[in-house]
Amino acid sequence: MPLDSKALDTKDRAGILHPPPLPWNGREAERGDGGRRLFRPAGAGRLPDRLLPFALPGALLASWQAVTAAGFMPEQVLPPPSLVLRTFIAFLGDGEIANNLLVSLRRIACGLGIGVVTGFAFGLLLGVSRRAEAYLGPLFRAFAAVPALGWIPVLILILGIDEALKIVILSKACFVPMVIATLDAYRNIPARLREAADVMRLSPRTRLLKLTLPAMMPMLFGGLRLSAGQAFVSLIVVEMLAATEGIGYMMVWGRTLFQIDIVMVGMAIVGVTGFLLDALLRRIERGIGARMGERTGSHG
Amino acid sequence: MTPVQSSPAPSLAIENVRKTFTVETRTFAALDDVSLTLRHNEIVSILGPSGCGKSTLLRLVAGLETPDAGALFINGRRPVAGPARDCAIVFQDHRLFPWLTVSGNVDLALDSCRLAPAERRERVRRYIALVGLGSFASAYPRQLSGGMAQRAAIARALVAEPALLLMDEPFGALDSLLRTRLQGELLDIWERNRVTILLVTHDVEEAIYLSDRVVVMQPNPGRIRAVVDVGLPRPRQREETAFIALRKSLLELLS
Repeated sequence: MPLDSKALDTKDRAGILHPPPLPWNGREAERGDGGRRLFRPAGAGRLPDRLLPFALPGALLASWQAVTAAGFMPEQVLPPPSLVLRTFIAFLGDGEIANNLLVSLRRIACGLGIGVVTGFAFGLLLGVSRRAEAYLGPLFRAFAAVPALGWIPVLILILGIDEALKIVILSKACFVPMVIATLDAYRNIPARLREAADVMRLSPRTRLLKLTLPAMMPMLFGGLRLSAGQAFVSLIVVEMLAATEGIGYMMVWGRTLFQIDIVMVGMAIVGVTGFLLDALLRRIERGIGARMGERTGSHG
Repeated sequence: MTPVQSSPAPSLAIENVRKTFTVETRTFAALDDVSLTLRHNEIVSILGPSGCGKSTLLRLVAGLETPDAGALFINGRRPVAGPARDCAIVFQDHRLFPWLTVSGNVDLALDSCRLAPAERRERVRRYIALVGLGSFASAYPRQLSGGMAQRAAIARALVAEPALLLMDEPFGALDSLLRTRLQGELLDIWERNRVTILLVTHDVEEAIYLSDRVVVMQPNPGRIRAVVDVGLPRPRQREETAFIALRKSLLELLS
């Protein structure tokens, strides 16, 4: 019979507490969702859970191959997956992919880094200071309403088409979601805990490290992941419009050559890289959550 | 009875305090002309129906609200602004930081004290042991039962050794068995570490069992209706005639 919470409290006359077998690390505690298994129908021939995410892409790929093999569409419009794969392997071999991907990732890293750091700082400023919010809040919202890509025509004139243009566009794309996430995270610090911190008269430093940041962490990570997504979108567009290298440029180049297979290789690389980046951020997020004992927010 | 006092100033003096709140366009007085003095090491309970301003009074003392009129003095000192030194509070919910262990939470309350690291660690350990959580020092709040979490909150309030301990229905969310036990434990702790306690409760028995004096409040506007001396020797028995008689008269005062 499982111990209930009252039984856990048992202390005998000698004052010795009997520690119950508690789920000591977060991972085991999380697994307590017995409900999910109950609703799974026990059918024969079902895929293992790990393979489920691949079922739909696999089916799409198969029908794509079937459509092209039947010759419904010319190869210039819809190249077969086998051709895309051949192009992919050829580009992988001559370093075309590695070079362009490296250039694109460097731009992502710069833009994400600058946008996230400045976005966090600015969001915190708006959250902490009512006056800053009054002065800067409306301007920020107007600024946020113009998409990063809407700035390209003006910025091309000012910055040219060099690296600076891409970094500025990407930073702006990451800045906005990070500011919003930081502001929301700050406002969602539970008032109950803020009062507890008030009566303990915590120093500003302790308050930041032990209350503000841990309480904000889940939402900050949500903002970080949103920013990374925005960075990818903007990167590809800006590379397609004004660049001489990068995955986006590679796609435009393929289109001008009427080699849609190259475009599709680019699309696949962007998709997979974005997916991996998000998975990495989620893993870090979970790691931090486990270290802090508990997460106040929901899993993103 | 004249208790020997180390300091001439009372532990807590509340003088003609008034506090109003405005909801929409209506203004009502949560507290109107409330005065109360607590002697050192005294336990005083505030009893009253909901809406009588008893929690507001506690929040004023803690410095979480400011009075519209009147003044509050803790050990003769008037808190400048914000939460007062020498004063700790236990809320109805434990309010432990979920990302910190029990010792991390208790240690937090020593942030404003200047203690050597070794002494600080020892103090945290001692107070966690005092509330009977010795083997749960490295547990996180979500791993504790309600009673254990509330005890951790009590350890956090006591660890800075405040002169005044405020408690806002600290056992209100617990079941009656656990409540009775924690009331006993609170008295044990109070006997060992003398501290003045101001306790808000809506439980008449709890008020009689714990306190030297019971303050009965009434709502609309929040005022003190009566201050009753308990005057029963400790440990008190809930079944004895004097206890039951006192309970009856307090219930009459409340209705």
